[in-house]
Amino acid sequence: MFTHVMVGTNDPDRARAFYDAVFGALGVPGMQAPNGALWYGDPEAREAMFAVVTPRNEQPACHANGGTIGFKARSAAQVDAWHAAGIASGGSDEGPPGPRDWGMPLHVAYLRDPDGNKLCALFLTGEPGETS
Amino acid sequence: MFTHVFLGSNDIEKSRQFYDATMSVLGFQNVAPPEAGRLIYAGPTGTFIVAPPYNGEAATVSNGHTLGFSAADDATVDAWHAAGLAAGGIDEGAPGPRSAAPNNARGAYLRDPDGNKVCAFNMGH
Repeated sequence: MFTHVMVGTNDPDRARAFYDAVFGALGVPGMQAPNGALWYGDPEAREAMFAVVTPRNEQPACHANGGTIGFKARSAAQVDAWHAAGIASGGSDEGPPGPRDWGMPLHVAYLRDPDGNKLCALFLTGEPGETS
Repeated sequence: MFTHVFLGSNDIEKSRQFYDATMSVLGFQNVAPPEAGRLIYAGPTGTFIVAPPYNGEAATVSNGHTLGFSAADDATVDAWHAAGLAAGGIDEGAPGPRSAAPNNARGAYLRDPDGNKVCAFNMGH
């Protein structure tokens, strides 16, 4: 469905420290494009990518109210590691890791990135995943 | 990579008009009942949800945020853009090749009725 999701930052170095940590917990590689944009994901995998940029209109980046981006985790432990890595790297807690039941059993955690963008990591409990 | 993406709406009926029109071009239908007060477009590789913010405050737009949707071919990019313009969206970049995209891929940009920036790209997959 998605090709990419892009969020804005006012401090690319701070954003890189945060996103390198949280994507590291999910096992997702990152790279910095020549224009400074941070891209996460495997471009050869033909999957959607995530990007962090300074806004092209040169106005300050700001977060939305009502916007959330959900990232796929492969285990409940990976959700926990994602949340811990984010807290340790400049993010703020927006909901600690734990089970939820939204019509299907989930293990979910929420963070704000250093610019205030709302994120979550989600593992669909019972899906084939890692055992760790 | 993504399980879902939420965008905020201050007028779900305007959002419904816009996203029913644009998402159907891409092959997705809203699966939420009308009384849900939200829109849920579900696909095998992710779910897209449009809803009023949970905190009861007005939905606001992020500067720097863009949500990209996958189009199966170039004609679908064009049809997506036209459908959005006809359904309450605002042009944010006409359909055409984008030099910043891999392989000069064809893309188009819109603002939804709440001002959220969205785009469609034919990435060849």
